[in-house]
Amino acid sequence: MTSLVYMNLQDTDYARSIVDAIVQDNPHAEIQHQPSMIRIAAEGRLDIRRDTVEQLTGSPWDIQEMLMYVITLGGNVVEEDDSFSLYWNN
Amino acid sequence: MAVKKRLNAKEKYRCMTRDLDWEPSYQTHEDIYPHERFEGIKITDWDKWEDPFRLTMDTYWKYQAEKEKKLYAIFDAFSQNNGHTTLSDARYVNALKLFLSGVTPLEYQAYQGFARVGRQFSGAGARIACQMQAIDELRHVQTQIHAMSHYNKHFNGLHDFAHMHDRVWFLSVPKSFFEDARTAGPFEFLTAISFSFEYVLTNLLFVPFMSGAAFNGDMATVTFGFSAQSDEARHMTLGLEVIKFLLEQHEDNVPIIQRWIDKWFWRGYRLLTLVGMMMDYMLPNKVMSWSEAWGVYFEDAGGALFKDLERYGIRPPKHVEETTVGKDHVSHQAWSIFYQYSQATNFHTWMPTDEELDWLSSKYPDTFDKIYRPRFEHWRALQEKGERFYNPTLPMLCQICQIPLSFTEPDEQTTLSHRTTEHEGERYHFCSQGCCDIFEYEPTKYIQAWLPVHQILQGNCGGADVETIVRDYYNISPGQDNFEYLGSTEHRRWQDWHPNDRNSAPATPVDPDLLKTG
Amino acid sequence: MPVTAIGAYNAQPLDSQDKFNGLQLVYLCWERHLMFCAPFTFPLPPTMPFGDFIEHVVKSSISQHPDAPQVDFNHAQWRLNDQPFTPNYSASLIDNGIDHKSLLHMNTPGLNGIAGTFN
Repeated sequence: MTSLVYMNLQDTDYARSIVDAIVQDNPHAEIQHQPSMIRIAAEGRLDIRRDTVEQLTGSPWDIQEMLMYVITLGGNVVEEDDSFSLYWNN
Repeated sequence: MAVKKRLNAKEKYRCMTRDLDWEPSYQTHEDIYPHERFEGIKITDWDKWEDPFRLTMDTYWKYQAEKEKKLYAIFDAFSQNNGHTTLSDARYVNALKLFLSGVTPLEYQAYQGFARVGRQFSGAGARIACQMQAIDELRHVQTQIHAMSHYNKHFNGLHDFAHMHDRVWFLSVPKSFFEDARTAGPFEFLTAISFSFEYVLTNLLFVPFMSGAAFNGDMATVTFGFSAQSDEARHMTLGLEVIKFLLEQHEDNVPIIQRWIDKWFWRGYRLLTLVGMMMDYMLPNKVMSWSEAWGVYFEDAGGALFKDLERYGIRPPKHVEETTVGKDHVSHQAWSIFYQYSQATNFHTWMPTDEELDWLSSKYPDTFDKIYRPRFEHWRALQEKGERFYNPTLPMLCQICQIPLSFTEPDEQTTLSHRTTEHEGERYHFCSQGCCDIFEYEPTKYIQAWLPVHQILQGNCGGADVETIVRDYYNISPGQDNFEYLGSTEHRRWQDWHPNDRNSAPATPVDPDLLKTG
Repeated sequence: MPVTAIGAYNAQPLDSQDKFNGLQLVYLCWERHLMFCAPFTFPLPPTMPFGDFIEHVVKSSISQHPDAPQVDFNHAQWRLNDQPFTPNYSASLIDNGIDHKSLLHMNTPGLNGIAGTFN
């Protein structure tokens, strides 16, 4: 079994729109609602794409803005202009 | 040649950080960065450093400013609406006293530590990441103090946290932890703090306190927590990036890093004893048990991490299997320490209610009823008779973690764990093999540890008896900050605020003179 | 192993006996009585007779434990620094081999703490 990558976001209107985009791009992701937090976990890899979020929200989105709402994460990070990914090598 | 009008994030970051660096022409690298080699770590190519997050200063200020505005607005609202009156119970505030005196000064040490190492690396990427983390940590100090300042107006024990951190017996545990890291070289510091603490163990500090705050009506601390956690995500990624960078740079680094991982995992595990106790005993509304938290946030999450690091030749930390046993014991052992030494704490302690005892039984089916419930029921019976138990002696402390030797052997849970060694004709004592290993590797560092009990007995803490030391050396207000919760000023005040609350337990009438110990 | 350091690293032990104003540290662990969370630390004159140590130091330290009145010190089993030890009550601590930062373990067979739970 590959290891789980995960990201916990604050449970706000802002974060909920990102979560919808993540689910769309990562069908294997599991969403868990915890008090004040939304936890997104996936086996091996999670990719967040800017264009998907912008399509869903209808507004321009800066990936770095998301960092204000992240509570914790697990996995190696790759941060690009248009995407943000988490992965494990095993 | 077409000129690009806009740089992408990677290019912009590189232009504004590494490309501002230069090759020195009239000073040597060795003179400018004198601390980079003495630890034996070999860096062949700093260009291989991957900036984990690419926040330039303008972006950093923008987002941090936004967070600050939101945060302080919520602090104001909490304060204006007397948010402290809608906590689950006044007992909860004692967790905040532990936090402000134990954790907040560590954020200040982190700021100092990162500021120092941020000057020591010849790689610009690493310098910048450390300098920005230093600013983050200073921000955390300030925002925590602000969050707690409201409570200081209405509760005791919060009034002199920095002074207490430097002197009070149990606060030498967090203080010495961080001083050990800050007096190490820059690479050990990053392994200790960025990796072991900010990556491997961070959730075990933050989730208990912040979820604890959320479950107990403490909006100020919750909001601080969320505001800080977004900084922590950056810190976590720095920790992981650092460790991978060092392991990939040279195979000679692997055994050095492994030794640091072993040491700092154990030191972090021991430090977190205080958090485990807070989680299981100081939250009227429980989040989860310490055992559960350790299972999720270390055993599961850490399992994935160490699997990933196998490719570098790194194995999980030494003594990790002991922590699997210890998770069902340490919180109860720690609460026992603080309950019986509450004449010298800046916060109150108490015995759990029947519901809380049952919760503990259900969360710790193998250990609680067999070992810990009997002593708690005995202490409660004593308390009801007006003979509340306070230990009249001074405890034996571990030379490394400085916690009283209250842990039991992993394979013999009725025997206190103890190890000893001799160095240059002097005896030293430890709570565990993990702490003993740390000493034996660099004994000269730890023979000079400032152990509170020994310092008291040398006469260096301003008094001959505990009461004088507590009042004059610790600046703990006797009869106000310390001793039993039931019957305390805070308890009575809480009852005045909530006359109809059946959960604010009726005060067992306790003669204040009986609270004192000789 | 020497401390990994940027130069020569020398330090003095902070807890050598000379710093305790003529006294020495002695630690005592009453086995299987976990109600006391950790072994005790006592500052004692090295010349204190072992019998005085029992009468004037140990008894009062453990007095709050329900087992305390039943302790028969004549039948206690001792270890000194992890070795079996038979104390000489009329000799001093130091003459008994109990020197600075020694750890005594006291076992009182048959007394098993609160309700036999080793507390």
